[in-house]
Amino acid sequence: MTAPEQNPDHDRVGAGINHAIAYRLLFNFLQARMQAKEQGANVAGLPDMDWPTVSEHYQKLLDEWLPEKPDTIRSARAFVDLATVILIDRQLTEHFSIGTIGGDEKDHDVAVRALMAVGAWLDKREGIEAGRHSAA
Amino acid sequence: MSDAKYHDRHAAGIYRAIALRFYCRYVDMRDSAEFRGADLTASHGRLPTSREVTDQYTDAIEEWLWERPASATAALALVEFAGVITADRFLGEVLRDQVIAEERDAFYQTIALSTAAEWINRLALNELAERSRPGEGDAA
Repeated sequence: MTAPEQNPDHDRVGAGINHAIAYRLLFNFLQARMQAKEQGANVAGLPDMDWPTVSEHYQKLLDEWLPEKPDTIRSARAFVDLATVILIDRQLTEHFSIGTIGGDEKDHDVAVRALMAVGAWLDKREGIEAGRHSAA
Repeated sequence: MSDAKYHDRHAAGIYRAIALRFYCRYVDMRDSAEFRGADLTASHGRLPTSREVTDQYTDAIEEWLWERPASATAALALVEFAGVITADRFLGEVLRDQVIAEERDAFYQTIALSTAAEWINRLALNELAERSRPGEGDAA
């Protein structure tokens, strides 16, 4: 991995949260893959990974990055993405008659924590803006 | 290994297409994470490009979308496919990236739902025919 200071596109918190979202989306794919297989589809060409591993990676990434506070616009955006993906994911999996990777209660908890983190970040930004206005 | 007595070729093809659509999302998000500096090589391995996987998805759906369903399982798969597209478009709004153009999604949804509706309509006509037989229509 390139050090953040070497690549201006890098953002460690944003990368961690996006990585967690990727596992969430991978889980949905694996559920659909299994359903196709059960109906007799040839899924040999589609990648496979066992669910506990995917779930474990997802949880590990959340444990690592969710407590981090967003410190850039990019990371704040990643937190918003995570919360919104969780909310939409529920609709997606309901359409498809499957469950989500985290289960409803845990999903709700993660979405709320992500939004609260963004709220705290916005609060800080608001304070900085107010300081600038009063200095002007 | 899945039980062959539950196999349904049509439903299988539609579910495979749904899986590929979900896979498109995963590939895009993995790319985003990598772009931001996440090291994914250890856990995810080499992945196809977004273009490759989108092509796989459209090939999969084009293969089965036009087939008339011969079972409730296949009709259900078509309805689920249409629902998945709607929810996935919301996801695309959030992630600022859509798998395919809106018009094409709408077209696929229309075909999927009209094909499923046609199957349901056949059931309704059969039911009507049964009820119209002498001695059976007044009982209900």
